[in-house]
Amino acid sequence: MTADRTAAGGYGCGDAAADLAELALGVLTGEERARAVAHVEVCEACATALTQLGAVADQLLAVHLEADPPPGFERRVLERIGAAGEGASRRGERRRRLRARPVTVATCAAAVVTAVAGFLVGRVWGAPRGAVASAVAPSRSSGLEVAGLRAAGRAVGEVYAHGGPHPWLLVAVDGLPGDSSVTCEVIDEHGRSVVVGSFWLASGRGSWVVSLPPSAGALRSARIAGARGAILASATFRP
Amino acid sequence: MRVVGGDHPSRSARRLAAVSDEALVAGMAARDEQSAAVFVRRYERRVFGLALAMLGDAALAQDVAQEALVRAWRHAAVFDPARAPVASWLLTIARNLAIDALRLRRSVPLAGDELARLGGGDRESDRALDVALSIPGLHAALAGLPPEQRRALVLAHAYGYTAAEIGRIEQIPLGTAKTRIRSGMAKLRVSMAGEADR
Repeated sequence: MTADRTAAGGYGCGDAAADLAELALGVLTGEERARAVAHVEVCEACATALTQLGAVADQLLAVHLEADPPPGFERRVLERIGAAGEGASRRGERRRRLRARPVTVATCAAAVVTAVAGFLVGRVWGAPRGAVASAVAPSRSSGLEVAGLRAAGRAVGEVYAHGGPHPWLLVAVDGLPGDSSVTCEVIDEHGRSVVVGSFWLASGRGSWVVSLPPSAGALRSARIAGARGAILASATFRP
Repeated sequence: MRVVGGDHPSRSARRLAAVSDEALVAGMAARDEQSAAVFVRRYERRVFGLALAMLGDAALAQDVAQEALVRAWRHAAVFDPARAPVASWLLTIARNLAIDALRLRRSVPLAGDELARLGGGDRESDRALDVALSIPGLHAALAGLPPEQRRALVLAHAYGYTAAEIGRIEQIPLGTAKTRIRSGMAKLRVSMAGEADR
């Protein structure tokens, strides 16, 4: 679909064509940027063009050589991170708590679910959330489980599953063929399966976070299926 | 299957070193400092390298790189893996901060010799630019752009100049500056697509 000129205040595809490269490079001024972004939000063709130009801009960023920062750089960053949004005394208390609780990415649930997965759930989940809730058992480990995603014996990504009060699933695919829509299905410890979402692979790559209901049980495996239902890859958490 | 949580810290840190960028950012969103430490170690050289290349000043580059990593920590919760890879998200933060720093420093316009080297007048500097373009195909693509498009693209990408500013620097109409940026990007896109197909 393309947007007519009235959709973005008289700004059409011709105007966008002149601005998209600068938008991708991040050098449009505020007003120009607002007009271009408003147009791209309602114009699929221009959004696709912007995605392609964004990939070029990303590549330009990636070409810069790595360089060793000065000694002490990492310590200074981590000191600031420890101070970010925290009072000094609270920070000390928090660090002691972290030492006693060697949890790592296992604590991802709350922020990811509310900030990232919540958005994705509303946008891309193919199955009603209630369907997931009714299909999974109420017992679930609270740690972060990681299972390799494999296709014909080849590693094509990973699936992360986290339990606790805000369970979530992160699927990272890298190595399946082409641009296509795929479906992710999980199988719980009782053998019940449920589709948790449909996602888009770009050049065989993609990653998504989806939330599971609080009652989510332990997962046995996850599968990625193609448009016609053929299983493309699977990950086993527990046989 | 492996379970990450519940390990001894050193084992946990070793395992974290193998997890994906997305999982590390998710950990940072949950304010997990161990995830942040692994993330900083993974990306500090790239972020500092980008800042140094853009600013040419190690002290300023250090400030910018530090701020970029801190902002990644602060804004990890709003990172959207559907929109961009983690590396692009982080390097864009660093680039924008570097451009802000350049704009603050921009009371003195680019010297003539610096502009000349962007245009290919200084072959030594051109070689240094080429060394930076280490991605196969992109090196050849940028080197193959007409000099005026290459200058416009480098001014926009590495220096953060708007088309209007490039027009003033190059003493060309705004429309011409926009066309040079657009044409350069379009050629790079075609070139990169060709590389990907090979």
